[in-house]
Amino acid sequence: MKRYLAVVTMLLVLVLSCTVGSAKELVWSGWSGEEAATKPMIEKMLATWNAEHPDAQFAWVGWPWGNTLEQLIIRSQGGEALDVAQIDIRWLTALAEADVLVDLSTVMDKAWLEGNFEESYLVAGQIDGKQLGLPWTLASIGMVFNPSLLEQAGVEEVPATIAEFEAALEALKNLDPGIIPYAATTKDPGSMSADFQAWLWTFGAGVFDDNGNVVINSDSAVECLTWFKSLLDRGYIRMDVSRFDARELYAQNVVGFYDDAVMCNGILKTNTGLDNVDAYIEPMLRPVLTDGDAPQSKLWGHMLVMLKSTTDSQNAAAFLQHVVGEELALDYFVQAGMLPVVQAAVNNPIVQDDIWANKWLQITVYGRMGETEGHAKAAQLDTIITEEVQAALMGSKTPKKALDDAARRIELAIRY
Amino acid sequence: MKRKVHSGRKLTESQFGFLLALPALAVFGAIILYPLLNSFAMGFTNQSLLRPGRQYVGLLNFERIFLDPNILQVFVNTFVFVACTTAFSFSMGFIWAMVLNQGLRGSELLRGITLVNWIIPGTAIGFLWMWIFNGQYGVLNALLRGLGLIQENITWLGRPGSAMAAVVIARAWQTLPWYMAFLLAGLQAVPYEQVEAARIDGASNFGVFTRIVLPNMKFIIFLILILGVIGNLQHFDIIWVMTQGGPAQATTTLAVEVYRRAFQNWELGVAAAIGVLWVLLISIFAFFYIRNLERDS
Amino acid sequence: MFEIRTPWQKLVFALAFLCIGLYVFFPTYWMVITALKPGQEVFNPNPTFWPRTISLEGFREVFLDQRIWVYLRNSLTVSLSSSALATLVAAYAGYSFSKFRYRGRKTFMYLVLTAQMFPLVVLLLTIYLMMRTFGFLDNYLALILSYITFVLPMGTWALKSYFDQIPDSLIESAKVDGASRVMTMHRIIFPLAIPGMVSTAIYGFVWSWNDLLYSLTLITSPGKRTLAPGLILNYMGEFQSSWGTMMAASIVVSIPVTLMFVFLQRFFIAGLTAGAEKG
Repeated sequence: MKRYLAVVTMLLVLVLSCTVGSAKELVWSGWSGEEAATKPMIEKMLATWNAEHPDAQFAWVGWPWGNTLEQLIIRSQGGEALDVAQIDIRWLTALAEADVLVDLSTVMDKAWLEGNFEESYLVAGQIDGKQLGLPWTLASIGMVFNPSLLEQAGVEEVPATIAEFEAALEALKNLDPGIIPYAATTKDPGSMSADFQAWLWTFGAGVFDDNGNVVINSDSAVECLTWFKSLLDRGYIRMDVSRFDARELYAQNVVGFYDDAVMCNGILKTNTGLDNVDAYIEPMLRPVLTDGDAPQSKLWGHMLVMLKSTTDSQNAAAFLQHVVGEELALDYFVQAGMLPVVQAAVNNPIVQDDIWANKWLQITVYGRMGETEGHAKAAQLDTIITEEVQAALMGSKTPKKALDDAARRIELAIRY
Repeated sequence: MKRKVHSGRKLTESQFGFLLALPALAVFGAIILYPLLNSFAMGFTNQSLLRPGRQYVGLLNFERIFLDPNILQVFVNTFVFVACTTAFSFSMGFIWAMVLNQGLRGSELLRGITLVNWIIPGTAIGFLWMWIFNGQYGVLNALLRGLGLIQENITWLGRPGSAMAAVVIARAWQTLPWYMAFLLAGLQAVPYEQVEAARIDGASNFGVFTRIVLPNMKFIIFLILILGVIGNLQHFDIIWVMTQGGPAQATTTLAVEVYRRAFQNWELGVAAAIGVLWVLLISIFAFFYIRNLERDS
Repeated sequence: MFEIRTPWQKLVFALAFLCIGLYVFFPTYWMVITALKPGQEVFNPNPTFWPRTISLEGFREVFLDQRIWVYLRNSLTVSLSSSALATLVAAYAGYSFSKFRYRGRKTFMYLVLTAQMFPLVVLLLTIYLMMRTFGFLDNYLALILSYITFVLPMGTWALKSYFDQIPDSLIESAKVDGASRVMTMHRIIFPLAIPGMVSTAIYGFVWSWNDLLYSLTLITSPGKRTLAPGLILNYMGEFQSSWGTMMAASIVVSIPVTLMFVFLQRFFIAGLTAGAEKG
């Protein structure tokens, strides 16, 4: 009997010890602290703050990008420690709907906000007149190509139209069957839906019309998907490729083109260990259907938010201002290629004279918000688009049927 | 302790017995029965992960489910996954058990190593098979190319049929040792005299198998098949690691679908409604299970 | 049991042995080999079946990764506590079902039995909300409590059938000797059921060790994360291409359970055999 009592006591102690929390810290969540290219900067941002604020220490709680929204929602609902977070701009609506975000204009000086950010950037973080997001980095998802591979394949000019693009892909494929001419994302909803939307726009189609009706099954959309599937059928793109796969394959020097955000050259440096990757990566405008069309790109960016669960909004606000501050913003740009939005950093010659950043600016000029992003159910809509496009790619549905199903599911999702 | 003994004396035999079952009863009620009933109720509300509180919405969630063009596919996927993994893993496990039961030197050791597969964490198993099925550097492609069976690499996880096959093979690999262990124990309990007698009557291997082995192991086969089906119906982690239910929902089973609806779409009500349909479906199954058990005992 | 004399029989036997043996053992072999290959050799489209150079880089990376050790510790804490608790509760319940008769016993027994079929993910919907209400989210307690769900139904039944085999006469004679019911149970009956209890505990341990569904949802802090979600969240994002390290990590996290299992296998097999003989 004594033995059993001992076991039970031990278990009780164990269980109790589980419930005793550690010393209280403020928590910053996101994904950049988990990725090799950005991790050192996140650590630096924390270290510089923590050194000066012994009474308000911040700690990082991170997840991979693909899990962040899910974990953020779960965590913000559970009353667990969570003060500030990094978010993808397209999650803002969902988080606003969940009513977990603090209106930053109530905790930050309005003059500071207006003095440091351009109006349009601030507006991107507003919902119903509340400043829920603080812009951190903003650019677009564009296309990049591998100049050295293209040269080997005999492609002399950067393709500007779909026809030229197809010719370039064919040339790459003929160069070496091991090459993936275009590492389009075909796997996770987080990337695939957005990338596909850019092609939809290129074909003059879209997910919604101006009145909010679902038009993803329009003739031009079907034409677009049919074309996209033809890329797979001709061996130009592959199934089961995520953005991370694309980056990794790109670093192996077996990819001709792919879609990514502005900091992809920084990632390539990290992945290859090379100091200078200019010969291997170059941004380009997305090919257009007919000469004279506007090349499409989707706006992309990260924001910082404060959560209502914060225990110290004063320090949380000061911490956010610390993170977006000029010096760190410039550092973040130099180290990881994250384009700053804070005025002083934008105007700094380091950014102004950067060749890569200037090239990317030409892409961002055409940037538009992803069409699912205004919806609280953005993640669900992205999943639907991804799944139906995949179904068409794999031939289990015709492009028409897949997009009809997508339209029906999107309507169901937003109606209820 | 003393006091307990005294108070024990005062209790009647059946009161004491009931008292022993009480902790289990409490745990069962709190974290199994109540959640089940509450999740049922949730299926008729608009409960969301984003907002507290819920309103009764009648059959709206069910209407949404039935209007979804892909819902049938989820049920079909579940059926295919459960049937294939159970059948494949069971038969491989059975053959492996019979092979190891032949008493070859080293069988004991092989049995031990086989069991290791069962305790490797499911997540790690998912990683392993993802790597084997990898479209670019996977060993399966290399082997098939080496044998001249394919010319170009196949992206196994990027096509509906092969993605399902891949998760089935991975899951079957995980459970094979479990079937083997039970079946081996069952084989060893088959009375040897009966086998001998059959041999004297001139029975072939096949005859011994169908006339002696199978009848003797009827109960255990029934039991592990039921448990296998239940386990596979619940299964989540290997699928989640390898495909997250994709591509295009080709490997989305009920477990994955409920999880996605609840924690990625935040619609707890709809997720619960699918759960209701699921439980209704397995009740049919449960009915036979219990009836059979009762008859046997 | 079966005759292997004619060439045909030998061929069939050899084929079965080779095919299934390959299926069972090759993946594990491949995991180990990949973990031992240096980075570039892993990304060889024509993989080598024996590494040209053996590299411990992957293992070094895993061993130096603090997080893996945190996950291991968390998983051990959670799995050990939940499987011990569940076994204890199941043992009392199993004993009660086996040796006592009272009203409602049968109903409850079948309820517990059916509980195995309740979809865990459906239970999770409510368990998540419950834990949220009680403030147990991101706390080991949430996992320990809910893992009992996994083991209780199966464990209660397994132990009930174990106790069924212990003759009532043992209890009777203990009573004659003046032992109390509590003492009889703990001193005489439970020790006899130790193999059954160990196999129930292993069963529970393995299940909680493997669980991804609950820990992905109920725990969000890296410091409290258990192995399954830890591995995913570590390696499924950006690092999903570092296969060598992934395989090394998979091996490292499998070692503790494997050792424990090798040690306790005797009990486990004994428990199984007892169950099988019953039928």
